[in-house]
Amino acid sequence: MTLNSDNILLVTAGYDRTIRFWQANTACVYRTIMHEDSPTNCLAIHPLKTLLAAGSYQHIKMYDLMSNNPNPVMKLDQLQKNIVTLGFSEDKHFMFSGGEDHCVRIWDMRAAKTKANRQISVGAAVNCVTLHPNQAELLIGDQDGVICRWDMAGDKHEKYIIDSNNPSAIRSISINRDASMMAAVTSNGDCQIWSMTGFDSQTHLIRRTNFIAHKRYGLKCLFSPDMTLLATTSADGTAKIWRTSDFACLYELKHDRLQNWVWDCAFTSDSVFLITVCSDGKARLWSTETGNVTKEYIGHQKPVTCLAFDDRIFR
Amino acid sequence: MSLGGGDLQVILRRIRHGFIVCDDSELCDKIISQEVDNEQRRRNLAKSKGISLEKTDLLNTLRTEQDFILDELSHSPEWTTANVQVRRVRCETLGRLSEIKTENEAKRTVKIISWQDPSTAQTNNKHSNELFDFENDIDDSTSLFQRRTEPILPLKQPSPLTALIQSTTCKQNPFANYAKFDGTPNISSNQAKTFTVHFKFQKQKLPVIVSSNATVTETIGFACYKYTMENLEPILTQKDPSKYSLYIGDDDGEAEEEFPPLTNERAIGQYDFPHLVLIEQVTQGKVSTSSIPSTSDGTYTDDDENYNDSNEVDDDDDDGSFHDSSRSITPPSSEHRKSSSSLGKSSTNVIVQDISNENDPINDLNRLYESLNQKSYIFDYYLKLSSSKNVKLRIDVSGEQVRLDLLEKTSKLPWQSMSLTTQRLVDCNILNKDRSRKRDRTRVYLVFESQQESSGAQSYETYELESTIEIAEQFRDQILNIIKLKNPQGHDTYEQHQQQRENTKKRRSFFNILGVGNPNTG
Repeated sequence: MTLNSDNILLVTAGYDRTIRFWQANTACVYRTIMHEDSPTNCLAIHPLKTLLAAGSYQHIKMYDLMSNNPNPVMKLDQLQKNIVTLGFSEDKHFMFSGGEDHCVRIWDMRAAKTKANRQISVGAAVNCVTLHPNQAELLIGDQDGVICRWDMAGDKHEKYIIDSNNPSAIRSISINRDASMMAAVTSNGDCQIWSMTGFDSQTHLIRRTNFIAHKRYGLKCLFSPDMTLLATTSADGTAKIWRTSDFACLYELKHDRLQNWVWDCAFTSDSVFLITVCSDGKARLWSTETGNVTKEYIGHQKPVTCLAFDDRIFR
Repeated sequence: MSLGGGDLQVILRRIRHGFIVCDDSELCDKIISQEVDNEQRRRNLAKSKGISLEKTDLLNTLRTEQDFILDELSHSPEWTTANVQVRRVRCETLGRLSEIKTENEAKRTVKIISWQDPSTAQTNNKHSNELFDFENDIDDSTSLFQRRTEPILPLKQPSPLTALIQSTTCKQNPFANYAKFDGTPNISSNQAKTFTVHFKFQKQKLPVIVSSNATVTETIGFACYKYTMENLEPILTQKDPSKYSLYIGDDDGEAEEEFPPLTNERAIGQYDFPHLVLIEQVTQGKVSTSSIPSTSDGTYTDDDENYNDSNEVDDDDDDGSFHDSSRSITPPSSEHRKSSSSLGKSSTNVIVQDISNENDPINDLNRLYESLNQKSYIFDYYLKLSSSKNVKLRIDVSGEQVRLDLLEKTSKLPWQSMSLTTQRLVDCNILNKDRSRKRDRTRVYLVFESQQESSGAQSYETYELESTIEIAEQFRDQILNIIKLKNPQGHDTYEQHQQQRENTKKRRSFFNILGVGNPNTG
């Protein structure tokens, strides 16, 4: 394998209305996009690494990753309120978005022109949408603490309420690669673990355990690609790495004494590093083997609230 | 054409003999190229009339002789829009307009896709419940969602990032904390400054775009950050921006050393020089450049150590990570900086005092000259000595003058702002702290010589000010340094004067006691 940084995409954005592209190994910015209309809420990289989707107030902008074009190549608008979550299907057929207007939308991206495909609305503002690894179901967490499952492919387009008894908002949902486990963090820092039935035609979820991961808001949870770790981030200025076998906390990654919020995180494909973004304007690269900071990405002038990372190699 | 006030000959002559700077329409060019024909024609006409062109003034002849006038007019250049090529050099505005046009065109290439609610077939779905209003569409969705049925394996792909990080002994950029002052994103909003920084000792230059609200120290930090990022040689020797100063430079990158370096606490946006020179401070012998850098934060001093620490990832201490990340240098937030610059509350003096303890003569001198750099202080100014009425006042102190600016309007004073030369400064002292009632504030007395009285005796004018102890002490230090440089004799005279007054006062009070004591006893 040749050593170059071309395959690594690390993109961060936040309140300073810029989207920055980092050379992940040297921590310098090689491209900056002004995203002027509003702060960016979420970022997602197209599976082919050709497009970057940025969700913000009332619209989603798509930027070309192959050129240096500072303008978006596509703008999806006529949306209400903030778009807070975005994602692509692995077969790059569709993109999903969720927002404060209670709606989860599917964008058909098979043709040259992206078009609206379908939408579902839930009872409260959508906080997180996660695609089941079977690529046909979405798990949606909302502000009222409801988690529901939307079977997009099934004939009946069913949706099921998984849990509606949560006292606080669901902030983030993550599903293990083999669909054996689902994790969700809530606004009061509670982390809930569910068992899943994998790739069966009928998905069932059984509540397994829950534990207090953080004392303040939980913001993001994410399983590592090798499925041994779970990362949670919080408003208490820390991210934590948990072992999935027994949910013991391996490392507490303290960001700052000022209790800056740690908004988002991503694992490298070998699960050796975790990247976090924080309200102090920095992104950090942590070793999951030692729990130490390996690199700091400094450049944003205001809090960084979202990141997108992709280091897969195409063969 | 309005070149000659209507006189055709003058117009033509002007065009023919004028120094034409710009000829967008090429009209002048055509007239001049006609000159040869004209000359020929006139000679012929003159020959037929028997006038010797050598002996008469041609211009006069052309104006007076009827035949010549007719001839000139009949051959006067006459241009229609068809044979004048309008090829104008585009002016600035036009250039900008066309830029905007291309920008807009680029924006127009953005595909705008609006969400249109998919056609909903509101079949009453049995599974739907009250919480959801379900929308269904009759679309070929079979190919869009392909359900994966075989499980995927846990991903254990080697990451190129890990390989890169492990392969390279990546040097941490010691100036990384200044990266955030990059002005590139601010260019469009005019919140950025662009200039060339010449690294004097490194003999390198670097274009730098920095955000306007960065202080000069932060600008130096950012320039050093860029320098290190671009892997320029030779590498910078100092890891601390406060070890450098920015000087105004000329186009060749030579520092204008007769000017002091830019004030470290000022925002770079206040300066407007295309070329700046970065000079490493040599504390030895370079007194004439008249400054030592003011370190604005004590935490800067040991950053190389910090960075070495955080490079050692193999540290197996869990808490170490927190320690490292939080301990790593952070430049003070800009808000903090702003306040410090407006109040002139740089910690220079603190450091300077530390140095002066060592009694190094060069440092002492440096410290003296440092005081000549302009600083601002905010005070409450008491209109009369020991009165309670006061107004907010800003004092800008530099080596040349002390400028007082009232920040509030008042009718009590005849001036709104006033400059006093430092040549007249004689003393500055702080009221004994024990005597002041408020614990954190103190009074400062600033004394100037006023005009010489007719008798030849000096009279003095005292300004009573109040501020926090910290500001007051810095202010006093600077003033006393300036006095030492500018008006040492005046200070001595004043001291003697005070001594005399003190003596007479003592004598008086002694008499008073006697005077008061007498009636009681009597």
